[in-house]
Amino acid sequence: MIDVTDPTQPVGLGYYPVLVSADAVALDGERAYFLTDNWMQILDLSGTYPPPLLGYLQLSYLHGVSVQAPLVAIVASSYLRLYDVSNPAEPILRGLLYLLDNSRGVTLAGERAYVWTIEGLEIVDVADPSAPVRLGTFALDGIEEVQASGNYVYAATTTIGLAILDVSNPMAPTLAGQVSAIGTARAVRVQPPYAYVTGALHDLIVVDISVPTAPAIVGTYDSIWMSGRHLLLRDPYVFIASLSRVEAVDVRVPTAPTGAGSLDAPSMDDLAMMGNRIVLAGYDGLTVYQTNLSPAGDLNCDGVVDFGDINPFVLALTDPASYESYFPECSRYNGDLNFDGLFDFADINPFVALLSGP
Amino acid sequence: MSRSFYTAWTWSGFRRGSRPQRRVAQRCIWLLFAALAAPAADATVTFDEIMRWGGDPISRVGACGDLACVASGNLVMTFNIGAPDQPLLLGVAPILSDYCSGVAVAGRYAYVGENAGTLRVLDLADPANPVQVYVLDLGQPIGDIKLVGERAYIASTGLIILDLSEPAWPAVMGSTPFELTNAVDADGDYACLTTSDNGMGIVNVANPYAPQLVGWCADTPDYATAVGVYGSFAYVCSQSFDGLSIIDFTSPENPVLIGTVPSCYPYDVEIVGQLMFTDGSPALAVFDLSNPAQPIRIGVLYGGET
Repeated sequence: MIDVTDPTQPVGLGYYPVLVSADAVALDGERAYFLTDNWMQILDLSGTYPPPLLGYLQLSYLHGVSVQAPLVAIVASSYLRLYDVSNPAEPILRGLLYLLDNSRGVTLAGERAYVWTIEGLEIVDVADPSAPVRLGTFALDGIEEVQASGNYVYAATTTIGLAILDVSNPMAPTLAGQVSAIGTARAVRVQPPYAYVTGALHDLIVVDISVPTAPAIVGTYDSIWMSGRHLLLRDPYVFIASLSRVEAVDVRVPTAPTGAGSLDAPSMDDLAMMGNRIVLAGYDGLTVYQTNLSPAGDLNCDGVVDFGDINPFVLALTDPASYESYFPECSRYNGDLNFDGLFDFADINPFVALLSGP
Repeated sequence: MSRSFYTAWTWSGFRRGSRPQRRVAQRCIWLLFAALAAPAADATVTFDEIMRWGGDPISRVGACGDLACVASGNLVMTFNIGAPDQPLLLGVAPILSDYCSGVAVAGRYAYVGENAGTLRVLDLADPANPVQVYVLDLGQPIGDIKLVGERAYIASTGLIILDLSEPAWPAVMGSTPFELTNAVDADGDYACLTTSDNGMGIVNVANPYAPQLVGWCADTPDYATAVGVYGSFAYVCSQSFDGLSIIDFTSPENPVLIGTVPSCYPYDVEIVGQLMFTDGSPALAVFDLSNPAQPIRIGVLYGGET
């Protein structure tokens, strides 16, 4: 929209970005953050069609996004940008950090941001988003994706397969272990005691990381159709995604992962799990699929979310082993209600809101 | 398996059976109930598509008052542009089956043309729920739509003129076939239509029931994308030329390319009053047509290509 009241001085007024294609997606509840070539668009995926556009940012050379509401981390070109999206209509830039190299991706974990660049990993303290501080770096070529878990960072690389970095001292991260036998790795997801990797040699590799310094391959899975590029974890399934297909793999027996359903999807560049729905982002925009997995919040797996899920929720949070013995067919990740891929204390408020909502 | 085992499955047989036989039967029944009562594991994950959004760029836009209609992929989207700093998406109609080549809005109706020749009329009385109320199959391609008064001029295999006096049910008034055209504009008694690579035609539309091709200018650059008409001057955008071509058709039978407006890289042109707007790169350029033979650029807005 352009104001031409004074034709000698036309003034741009407003803009509505249409989601032509999406390169990456991150979720905060049912709020989705999509990256396109020059935009970050915030869409409400709660079900209204068309999905309401809550806000947007115009940026260039976007490479990755991670959300830990109300904080959104974006890496663009050689910058880490931290936004407060409390009001998604007006994201506020809180902090900016010039990276040592061109960025490739970012993930937020607690008070840290892990940024991978073309040269390696940068660990950034984002406890005060207005003043992000680089804590340490680790030189590592070919990082495709990173996931943090506890004192370790798991990196899928094209050079040394799966690299496990000890970041207990973020000033001086060290290589604790690696699984180079898996060749080129594209993506990694971690749910101790296992890490799941997709790569060139196998579509899925299950790695026992009980001892991070001595990771061991315990199982593999191959499909006839693809080379995996992305992974999703929704216990007891791992979803492997290629450019145009998603396959669910049952990993209840880690030594013998088995196929458990597949989907021929539009071209995709990224995907995320929203409860029992899968969100795909790609050349064809966004697509949401409903799965037959238990709904988010259904911790006793009776098919509904009600007060009967409170005790299982508390048990799953405080004593995962007991939870698994009481509900062997049920995933405690049904409690991941902020859809950040983790089941932790940050899911309590969304759970309360889910039970007390209309 | 012995006959006595089977007899244990009947109540009388169960009572008559030996203790080991009864124990086996009890165990089997218990296992059956246990299997039925146990929660079934999800053997296979199923996927059902519940939403798809985006994936296509905007192809055409039309606006009227506070309402804008935008075609993108198979969708016609409606926007409230009353607050121009915050265009608000109101609704969508997934009705298009081919590339949209023209959108025009008048009053409560939108006219959406598809390249294959289908003209769709949408009622925007409730703009959040645009409703298709009429479909007119023209039987030939649609390249562009321009509304002037109660007429719609359609660039097609030549020119088609529609009567919009009943806005929900447009009817063909007349047509003059000549070549495949991709842009049209009209002013007064003449309409100008461009072809992709063979120049621009001039049609006398004084009698809309019998429009007549009266002139042709073959000198416009190839890959024309849009045309604007102001009095007896036409301004043609072409992708093969970084500017506008100015055609004087004061003598409609003998149109003459009289000049160019260089270095404005236009994709589209719109004329409002004495002002001409072009979009492309820069995003917007404004020209004064006081002297239509020599448009003067008076304003510009940069911001990339549009």
